[in-house]
Amino acid sequence: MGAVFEGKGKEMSTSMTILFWILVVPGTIVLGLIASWIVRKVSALVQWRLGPPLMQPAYDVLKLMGKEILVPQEANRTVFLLAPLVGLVGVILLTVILCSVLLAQKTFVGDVIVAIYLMVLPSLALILGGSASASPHASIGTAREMKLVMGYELPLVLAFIVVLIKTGGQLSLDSISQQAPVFSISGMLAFLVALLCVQAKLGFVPFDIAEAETELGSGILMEYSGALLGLWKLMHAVMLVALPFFLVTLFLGGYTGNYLSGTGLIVAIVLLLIFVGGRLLAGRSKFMDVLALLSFIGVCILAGLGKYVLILVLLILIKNTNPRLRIDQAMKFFWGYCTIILFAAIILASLGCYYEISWL
Amino acid sequence: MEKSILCIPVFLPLIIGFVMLLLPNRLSSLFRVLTLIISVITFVLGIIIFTSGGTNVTWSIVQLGEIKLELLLTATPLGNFMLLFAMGFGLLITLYSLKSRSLGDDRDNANIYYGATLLTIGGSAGILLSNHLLALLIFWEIVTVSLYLLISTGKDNSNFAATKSFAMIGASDAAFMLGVFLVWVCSNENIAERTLVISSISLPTDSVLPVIAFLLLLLAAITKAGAMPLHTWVPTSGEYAPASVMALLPAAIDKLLGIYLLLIIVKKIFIIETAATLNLLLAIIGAATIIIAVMIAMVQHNLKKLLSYHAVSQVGYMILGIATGTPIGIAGGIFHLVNNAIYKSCLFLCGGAVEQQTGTADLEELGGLGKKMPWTFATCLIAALSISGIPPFNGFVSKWMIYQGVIDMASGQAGTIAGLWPVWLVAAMFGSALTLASFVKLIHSMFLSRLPSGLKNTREVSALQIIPMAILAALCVIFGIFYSQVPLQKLINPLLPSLVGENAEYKLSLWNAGLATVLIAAGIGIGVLIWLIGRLSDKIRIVPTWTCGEIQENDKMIVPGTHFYKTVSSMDGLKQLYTGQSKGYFDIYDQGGRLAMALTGFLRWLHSGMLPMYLTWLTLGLLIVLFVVCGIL
Repeated sequence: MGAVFEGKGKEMSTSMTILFWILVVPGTIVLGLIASWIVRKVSALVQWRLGPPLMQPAYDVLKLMGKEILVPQEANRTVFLLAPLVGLVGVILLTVILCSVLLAQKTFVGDVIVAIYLMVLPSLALILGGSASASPHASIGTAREMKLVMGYELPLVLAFIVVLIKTGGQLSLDSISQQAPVFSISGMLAFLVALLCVQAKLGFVPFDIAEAETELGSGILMEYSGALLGLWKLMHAVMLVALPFFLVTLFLGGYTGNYLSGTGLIVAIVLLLIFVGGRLLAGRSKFMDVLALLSFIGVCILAGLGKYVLILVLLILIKNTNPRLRIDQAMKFFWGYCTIILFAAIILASLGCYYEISWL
Repeated sequence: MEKSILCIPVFLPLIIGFVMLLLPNRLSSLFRVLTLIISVITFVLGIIIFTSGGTNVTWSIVQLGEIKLELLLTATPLGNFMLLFAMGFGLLITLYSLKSRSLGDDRDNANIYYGATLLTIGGSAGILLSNHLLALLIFWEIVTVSLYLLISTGKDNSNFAATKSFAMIGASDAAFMLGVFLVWVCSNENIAERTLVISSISLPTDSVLPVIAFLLLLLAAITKAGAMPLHTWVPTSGEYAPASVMALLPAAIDKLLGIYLLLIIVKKIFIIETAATLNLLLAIIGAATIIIAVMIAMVQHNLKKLLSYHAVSQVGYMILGIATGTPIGIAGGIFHLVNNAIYKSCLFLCGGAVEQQTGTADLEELGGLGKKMPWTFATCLIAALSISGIPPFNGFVSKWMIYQGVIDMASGQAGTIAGLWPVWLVAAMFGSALTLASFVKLIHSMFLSRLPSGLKNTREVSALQIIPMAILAALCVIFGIFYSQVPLQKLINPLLPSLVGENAEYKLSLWNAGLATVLIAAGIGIGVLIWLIGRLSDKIRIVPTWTCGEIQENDKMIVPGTHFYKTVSSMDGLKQLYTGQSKGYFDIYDQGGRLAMALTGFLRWLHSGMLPMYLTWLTLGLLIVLFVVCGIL
């Protein structure tokens, strides 16, 4: 998708705008599925396994779409059936907003506060869906998800304030994405904490407390099956696009433009060929898997998605190197350490703003 | 005719309501019809006054020395706006009460209930229209008394709650009275030219006396609105008063009146732009109210008490918005006031409906009612999402405006209050997340989760009760989606110039609620369509809840939401605060009671009844007097 637009500040032509609108929703879903494949693949490589083929997440969702839907007798059917749709639609809307900011430098529908509030929608949908399924396991999952939201919302707001100080009180996503607060001490601290908040929003280890397969049996998703579970998986896949994009917009200075010109284009094509060839020819060789993955990442970087890949890799590394926290530990972590760090960051940023020292 | 338009909504309900109080309880159907007719009339007049703009009525009543008591009724933009909503809520809640209070027995107290409702309507119309502080004070007292009467129509312990409310608001009314007197003293150096006409007072707050007057009036305003630390009457009455009373007064009209008074003193009577400390005080009250009240609300077990603490918490947003002093913050504060009245009334009505049908307001005994009471559930869900600030509902828009007000203030002003903007922003935004948390708990425990066996035969309330709830929920949606076209442009922007002067223009950041809603609705619509097509192949099956093979009774499988936030309430540091709060250590009323008991205990100890003791005191006193007199001479 990155290849569609040519760098920063240029106006899109009408045909490009139309193309953008046609491609953006399928594009986010495809990108989300690829991202969730990367997550699974890298996790597998870390754990010294082979991991799934590229199409596996798509196969999973398609398979689920064809299965029958089980609805618990005591469930509130309307909420139970609508919740995954609301979550998916909400997160797609958020992704479209962020895509239009990143790729087209155009703000659309809402500002940064709206984006922060839209990010609550998937969690809220999960909570309502789990609560409506009338299962005790799901109820416990609901409580945990809500507490997790409470937990990370405080550091997230504080990190947002650091960004506000650094960017001079701009609220439009467009103008925020023109600056990169991460190149300062306070911005870096805020970015790291926000990354952990995103980890929790995604429900990745160490914050997979609401699903907690080994103790709650998928908790909040316990009663979901068939197409509805497929929608949840899809929502999760799109969140893998939306939330890193949000971090890119807020902290990393947005989309930098792509290098797909001349030699870049040739390198990208070669890399893509290696990638596809590796997938097709290598069978189940781990070396070719790694090579294919690296070439894919290389293409992403050349297409201007390097920052996105960076955040994704960080998320995966945190995911694979930590055990699950208990909910009270998670809340103490967010309300304790993270909050203290961010208070320090806010003070540093304010000092930096007052004395005009940009690296603080 | 022109003049009577202002007098009718004030005096018609007052007179009829007063007569009603004296009539016997038997005539309850007459009371109902009469109240309904009068509330319709006042609402229609409210619309007419709002659309036609200002007129004046002057009646000279008495003159005591230099203080003239004149009844000055003036339709101001702010008053008209609030009047429209106050009368609207009067009508909706009367409609709801027609069914919810037709118990038919002697404890019904129909004369008191409907009489006091009319007194409330008339009194609040009087407050919003009068342009004379003394008249305003009198109407203010009428509303206080009718609140006392209304709360006392509740169940068993309602007298205790009514007394507490009356004591706290009454004390603040005393402060109000003193404040009014000080305003009169400060208004002019020349006694003959002193005045209490609101539109002709403008006091700078640079000396001690006006500041004291300001603080006294502020005390009255925040007590009525229910802000910290004088909020404790709201949750206590929430526990015992009928839900319709809570929906009418603490949720809607008391907020309108309290914030109306606050706006008047901040923007009209006093000039506080120069006094940064007073503005800072307002912001601190606002931010503290938001966070503390919502933290307490989270751990409540009683449905109405939980809602009451939120009624307190939301006031914080309004006060914070007004404290920012920016046009967008003030507009956001006023918008939030209206929004809060709408969704909080709706929530109380829903809570009342559930309590009426199930006989309990304890969250632990409820659950799964969404299937039995679908309309109540739908309206309650919309109102709950609105209060939690979920886009695209109305609560989000006003909170969003208040956030922008805070951020604008940071860039536009200097001083402590502007420098501390991160504190205000964190309080407001994090408070919103905590609000969501406690409403998730409420919705889970009332409507989702599992249905307890005892509530199997619960039925939906009657249409007469659903209509007001549905209207309020619809307003939540309309005010959220068309926020710019309907409430802001038609209602709030026109009254800004009278509050912030010429620079009433403000620029909103981007939130295209209409487009977002269309996109969300279209997405959900397409999804439902796909699902319906998939359903043709009949791939849906109803199964019992998966219990991992265990066989368990229904009631044992209910996980009530009341224990959701034990993790929070048992955190170190917070735990002690929660324990102290539940014991009433932070309740000014309770602490006042303890102080008074200690004082009377001391006096009782002095009055031992022994003659030698009294003689000793007498001699000691005489000696002291002698020394003092000698010393002076």
